[in-house]
Amino acid sequence: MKIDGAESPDYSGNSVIRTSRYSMNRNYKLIIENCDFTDLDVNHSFNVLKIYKNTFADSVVLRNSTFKNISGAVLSLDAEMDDIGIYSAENVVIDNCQFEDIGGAALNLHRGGRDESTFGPMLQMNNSTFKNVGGDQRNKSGASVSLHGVQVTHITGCDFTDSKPLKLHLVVGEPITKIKGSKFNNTEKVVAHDGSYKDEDLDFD
Amino acid sequence: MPSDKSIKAGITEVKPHATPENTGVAWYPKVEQEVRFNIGKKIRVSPGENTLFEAVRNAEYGDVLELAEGDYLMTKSIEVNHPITVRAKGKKPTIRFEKTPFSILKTAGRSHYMI
Repeated sequence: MKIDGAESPDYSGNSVIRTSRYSMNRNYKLIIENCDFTDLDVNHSFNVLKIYKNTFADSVVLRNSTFKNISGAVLSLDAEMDDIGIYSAENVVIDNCQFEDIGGAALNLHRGGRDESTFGPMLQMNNSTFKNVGGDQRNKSGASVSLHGVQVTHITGCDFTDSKPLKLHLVVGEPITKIKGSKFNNTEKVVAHDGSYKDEDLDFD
Repeated sequence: MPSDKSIKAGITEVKPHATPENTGVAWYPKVEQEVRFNIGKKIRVSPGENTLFEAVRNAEYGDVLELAEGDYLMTKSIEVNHPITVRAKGKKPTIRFEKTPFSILKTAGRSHYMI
């Protein structure tokens, strides 16, 4: 399906899909396949998915989809900022997607706290391209993809062009973080607070 | 269960195996936890104003809404209260929405959404 934001109201902070504002008594799944999201830019901070605190996604999947001309973030999974080991999504999959001219981050996944009580969040990100992503001044993370406390990360075959960096904050136990076969054109190198991630076959221009 | 005659210790297999049906008290409901998409009816949706909104409102658990090619305009937010699949039948339809968010995943029930 094509989802076009051209008729959306001229307010800041719009979203295409949002969770309940209150705590949800069950977790949810969101699967987006073969969709084109365009022109979500009527005002600033127009997000594809807006989540609220006390909601939890079993999985969020983006597959074979394109995201173009969006003023906010695509997946902003960072509503749990108390840093007590609670987070917003267990499994995040981004597979064969194109992100172009995105003001906010394509993905912002946050799991704060220092306890080792959770297996997630887990991220698979494959065969996707990021062109001019994360450049809006309102993008507080300053990243195209920001991962904080993610326990398992596999990034393969992703191309970043003219974008903000991929930022990693590797905490809690020994998170597994592997970045393979990806290109960074006119994009800052991977920014991580320590080097405990594995990279292979990365190409920086 | 794996076995090896050289090992003389171990446990013996107890049959029947424990299943949800043969364990626990009868009066406690054993609701299946895993949610399923695409187990309900297929419902055709035509282009127009709020046709998708109405279709989702009338849909039931696991239904599949198939959108014909064309332009869809939403003036109301769709509320998702149970697993539902929205997909194109043929070429990709275009969806515009005058009210944001386009869809809301609701508190109660299992809001599972596939588009």
